[in-house]
Amino acid sequence: MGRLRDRMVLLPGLVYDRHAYGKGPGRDPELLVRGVEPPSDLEKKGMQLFDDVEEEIFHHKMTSVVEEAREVYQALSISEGIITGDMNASIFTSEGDPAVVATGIYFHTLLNYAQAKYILKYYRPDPTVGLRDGDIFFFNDPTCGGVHTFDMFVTAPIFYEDLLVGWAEVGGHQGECGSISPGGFSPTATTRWEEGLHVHALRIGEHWQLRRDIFDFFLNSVRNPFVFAADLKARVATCKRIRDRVMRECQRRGPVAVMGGLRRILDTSAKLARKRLSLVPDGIYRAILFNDGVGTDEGLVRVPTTVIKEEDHMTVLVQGVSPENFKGPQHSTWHLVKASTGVYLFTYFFRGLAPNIGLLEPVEFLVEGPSIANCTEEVAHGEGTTIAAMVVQNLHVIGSKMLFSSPENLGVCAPFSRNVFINVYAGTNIYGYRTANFTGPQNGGGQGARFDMDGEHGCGFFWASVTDIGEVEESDTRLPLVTLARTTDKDFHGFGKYRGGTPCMEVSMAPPAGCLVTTRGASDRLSHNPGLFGGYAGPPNPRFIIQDTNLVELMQNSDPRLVFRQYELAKDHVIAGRYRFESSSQPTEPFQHGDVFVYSVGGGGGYGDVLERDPEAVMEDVRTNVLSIEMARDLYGVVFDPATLSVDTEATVTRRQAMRVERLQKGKPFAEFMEEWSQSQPSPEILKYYGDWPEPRVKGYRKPFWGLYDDPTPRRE
Amino acid sequence: MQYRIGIDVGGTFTDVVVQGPEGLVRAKADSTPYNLTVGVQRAATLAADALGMTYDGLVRQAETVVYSTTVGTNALIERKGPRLGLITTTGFEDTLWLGRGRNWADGLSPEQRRDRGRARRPSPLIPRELIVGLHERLDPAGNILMPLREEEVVDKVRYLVDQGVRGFVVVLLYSYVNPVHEHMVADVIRKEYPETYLGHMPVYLSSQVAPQMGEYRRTVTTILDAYLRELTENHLLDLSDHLRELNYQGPVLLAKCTGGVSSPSRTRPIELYGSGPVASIVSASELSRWLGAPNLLVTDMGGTSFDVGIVVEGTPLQYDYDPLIERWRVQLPVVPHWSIGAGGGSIAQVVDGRPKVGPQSAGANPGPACYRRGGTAPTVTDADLVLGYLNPEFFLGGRLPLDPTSAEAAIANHVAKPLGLTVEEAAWAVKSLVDGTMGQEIYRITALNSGYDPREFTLLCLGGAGPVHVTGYSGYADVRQAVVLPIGSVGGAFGTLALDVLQTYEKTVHQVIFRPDFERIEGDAMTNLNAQIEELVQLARRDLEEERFVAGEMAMSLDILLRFGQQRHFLPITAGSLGFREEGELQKVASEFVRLYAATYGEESTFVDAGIEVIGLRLHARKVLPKPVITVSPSRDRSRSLPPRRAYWGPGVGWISTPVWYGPALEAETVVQGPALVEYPDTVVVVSPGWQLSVTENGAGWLQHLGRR
Repeated sequence: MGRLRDRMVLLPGLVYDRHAYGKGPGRDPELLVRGVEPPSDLEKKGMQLFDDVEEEIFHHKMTSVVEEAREVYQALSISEGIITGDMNASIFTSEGDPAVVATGIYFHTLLNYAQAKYILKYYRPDPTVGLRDGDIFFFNDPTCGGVHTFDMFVTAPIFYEDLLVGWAEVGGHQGECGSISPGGFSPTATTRWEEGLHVHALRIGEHWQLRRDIFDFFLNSVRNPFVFAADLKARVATCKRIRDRVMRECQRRGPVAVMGGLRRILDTSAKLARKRLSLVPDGIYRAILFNDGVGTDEGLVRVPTTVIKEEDHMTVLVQGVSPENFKGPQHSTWHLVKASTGVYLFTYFFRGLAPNIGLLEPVEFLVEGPSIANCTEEVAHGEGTTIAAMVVQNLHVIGSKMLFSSPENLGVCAPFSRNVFINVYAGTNIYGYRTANFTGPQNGGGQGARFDMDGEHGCGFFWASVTDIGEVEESDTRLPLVTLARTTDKDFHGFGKYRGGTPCMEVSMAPPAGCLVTTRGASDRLSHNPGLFGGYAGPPNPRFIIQDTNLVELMQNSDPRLVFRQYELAKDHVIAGRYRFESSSQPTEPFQHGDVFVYSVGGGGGYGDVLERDPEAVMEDVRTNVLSIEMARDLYGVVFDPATLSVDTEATVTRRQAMRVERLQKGKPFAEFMEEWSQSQPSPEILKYYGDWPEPRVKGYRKPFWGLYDDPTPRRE
Repeated sequence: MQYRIGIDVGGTFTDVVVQGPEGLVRAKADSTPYNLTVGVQRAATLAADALGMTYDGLVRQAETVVYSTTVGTNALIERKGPRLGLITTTGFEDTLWLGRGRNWADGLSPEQRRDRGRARRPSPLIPRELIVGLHERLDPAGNILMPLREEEVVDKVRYLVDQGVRGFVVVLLYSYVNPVHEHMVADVIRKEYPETYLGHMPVYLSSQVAPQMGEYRRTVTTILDAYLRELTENHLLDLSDHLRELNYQGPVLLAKCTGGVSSPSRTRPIELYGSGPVASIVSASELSRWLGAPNLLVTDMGGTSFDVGIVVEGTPLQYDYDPLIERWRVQLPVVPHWSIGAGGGSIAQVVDGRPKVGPQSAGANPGPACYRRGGTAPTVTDADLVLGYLNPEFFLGGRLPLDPTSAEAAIANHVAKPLGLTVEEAAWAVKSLVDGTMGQEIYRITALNSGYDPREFTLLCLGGAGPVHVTGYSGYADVRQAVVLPIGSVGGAFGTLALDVLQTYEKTVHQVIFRPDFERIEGDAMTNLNAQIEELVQLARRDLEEERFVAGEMAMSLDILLRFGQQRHFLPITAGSLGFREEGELQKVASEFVRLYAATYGEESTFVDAGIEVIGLRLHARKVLPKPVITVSPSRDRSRSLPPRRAYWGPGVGWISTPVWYGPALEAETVVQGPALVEYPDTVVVVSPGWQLSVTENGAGWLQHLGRR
């Protein structure tokens, strides 16, 4: 570690480099923080059998195997999450590290490895359990290495004769898990005991056969046994497919070569990551985000992120975080924060390198705990992704700044949309099946603007590179709702020289039989979609429901005033009813035929100054209905004919110049701003979950959070 | 009237195969994108020369012309189609634009799909301002929730006309269940713009073009059909007029990606897309009998891509689910084929200190460095030349001299130096990488789609670059034997002559056969399904009568698309008859589904307790046509044995003087042991160490690996 990192001061009494909880039955956090295991003697021997070309070919083969597995898993599953891409399929090294992954969701790539390690360490030598070819293990407990209880996985050892050469693992977001709310997400949960099944690493089958008694236990523990059973079978079938393919490669290359090849892939990734890091300027980089609620209640909490980059190493420090609370499920874990950063790092920072855990070898993660980012085990974890994603968004802003003056600057862009919002619909679908799950528009987030172009509209899920919002004609037969629209929306993205993309906005109504809806979300008032270099943030998105409506009648009359877009619904109130704009963390509630639900995951952040945006691009946004006339005129400073949308170029230049002058008049020196700003403080009601103000973990410390680095002996009272 | 002419217009070459009393003749000419008919004429003239005839005479004496064309490819890439308006259900105007959130990645390589930061959607075929929504809505059962008002249709249509549209695409939600509103829209447009007057504009209804569930795919399918229609029609009329002027009396049949041919009046424009590779695969099913090899992996390695198809037990693999046309996800029963960015023109480079090959290609222009057409990037062809596999003076029969110095320089500068290797080691690395990639992609494709063991397959090697690499990629594909054919370089054109007349009709239905946990067949399942099947049969009969086929000439068969309850994935099961007379027949289809599912995904994956549902029907009407026959006799235009050449066979063997044979002069039962090079006018068969080539009477060259794998 270098001189910059030496300036870092960690607070006494808090943990940073490990979990805020300790060992327990089926759980050993030490296995989670260990990183990639050193190669075994056999792996070392196998690694010698490869040169660069053969490694490339072997890597391609293993990638083909997991890509195939991903297709099979998605094809055989029923859950909306799996079908639309919230899943992954992996091959692990014999020591339990994920070497080759098809995803899906990037954080799954970096999670759920400790279970295999746990089995190796504790169960394999134990005569009451052991480990044999054909064993099937199931797990979903977040404290053992996962995300939340509704992400369910199966892993199976791959034995070649008696030699353990690796592991096959398959899983994803299944939904319903027996928690207090149907469908998985339970925004009112305050402890883990309200979040349904918690299975650490349980052998549920042998010789590739599921045990009937355990199978029945699972089916009896959830509300939709039919979906649970189908998806579990899909996971087992997919694991077996991976195992068969790896076995064949063992026959071709020899098992030792396969073991060595898998391990070598990780080493190569680590080398390439170090090389990439060495191209980026050294420095200390910072970003911060705030959340406006904790699940069951509103209130301010804080998640800052600092990156210390020196030579070929990087430290990600998440410090000065609000303390944990028992008021909701928005609590992350050390391993979830680490894994979540893969979403940014793999796609943008390490762009072009094969995604696996090896890329994180040169990155150190320090996550302050106990806190909402690194919590203890008893608290509810179900929406820990909300907090982890804030770290990711911070890292995205930081990473773009780091890459800006590096040769890898094609990755510079504003963050992808992450104003999380999910409606879980429960009830009976049109074919009479009981079901509880979400629809696809969470996979249609707005992309952040790039340094050289706009973000795409509705372009995937925050956590994954390629996901699918599906098609309404299909999803309306699976879930109890009538989808009225999937559209872009007006003024619902980050403005800038290049604008962010708008999300896919879904408007739906409860069917004749009604339905139950549970909503989970965050960023109702404060956006988690920051802009970059002067670009605006994507807007926050609270829950929007219209209840007790006359919509059915309006539809029967084909009322031409009906426009199923958030902008017009909220502005024009054509539909009569009770308009509810509220927190997106809401418990399960019944709704009647004609009640309207509006949701999206928000638009991507903008890049650069709005006054530098090409006026013709502004007009194109108006023409395509994603920007209002008012914003084009007042924010972008474009002078144009509203009827023809033709730009008055000269008048636009003049108007923009005047706007710049106005800005300068409003501006003030930084020190002056800080003097005023430091005197401000939110009300105690808003700060009740925040910790001490302004520095949550250091009472009376009045400097901004980065002051920790200026003060070698911070106090903690 | 004794000749059958098969034509395959590709991006680079136009291939022609003529089957006549003299046997099979093949020819190849450059494609002419400015007027495809010119390239056809040139290639056919070469074929006629080989038969000692004139082009006119050949056409006059032809009984059939079968045509596979890429006419739509450029129109799509260059967005040269007509200005269309899209009329859809209000709330779904952005469906095309949003593209299921995933369409930015459709049609891209895995590496490109990971690069979300640089994602760019294909520009839509219909701009947003030409998309309008109607206040109308049905539910999934086809019941009307929001009735359509005629006056709104008139307003929206007039708006689109004012914007200058030249045709209307109509895609309303659930029109595949109940097309009543789409028909209303069509009626209004026809009333406003009657067919008898100038200004008449075509209307394309999704319920007619693609009556299947899935509003995005149905929209894209209907738009593509409309977008390509005018251009395709014009081209086919030009070709047809040209042939008629030469006194051609027979039919012009069009090869389709659905695996058959049909007359232009029964062919949809999008069915022409990818018809060449599909023709190769379908003809391979015929060849499988001729070769005595029922399971074939059909590979075609050209300049820019490597196409793969599968024949199982003499039949092409079942139709693809959600196939892609360019970067668009469509609903079309395409014979599955996969295209990988690996070919002779694939560019080698070093990225982050690691060697990579493809998917970028130098194409034919500028082409590999050794072409000396301005290309400096090293390609697979350059590596093949450096390794001594290609004869610089006999490439394409001597028509294109190659420059070894340029190839060496390109490999040295861009691969060898950055990796610290010698030039031959670098070239070997390029060959190994491309062989590994292609071979393992074959493995993935075989396994992914069928669960079959590639070791049970023979690899059929087509394409100009295929024989150079086949012994390389076969190993990675886990295949034990491969076969090269005299017609290998014109596989698509040959394939067109092997196609039958085929019409396929599809329909989404939803019918539960077994409910979860219930063992009895649903009471109304048989009656409902029979009614739906009858609708398709009537549709097919109407078409056949209009085509003047005699009853009995066409055979119909029915696929039932089944899934376990609520699953998205389905498997097609061929029914024994066009309807069910007793429950036992329905039970049999369901049992076959469970058996096939278990065979494909494993016994542990089946879940009968979930119930079994029918989600679609697919009816095929087929008329069998004569098949081409390959006949060859040894050529005497060059000597059998040619001077040996130095070739590099990897670090274990190094450079050795390698025997060279002239392929067309090899008699039946000749066996060539590797390492050896067997030259043909249009390719070289590289027989690697450990392999042997055996020539059979029918001219096929069988490559077998002698060692254990």
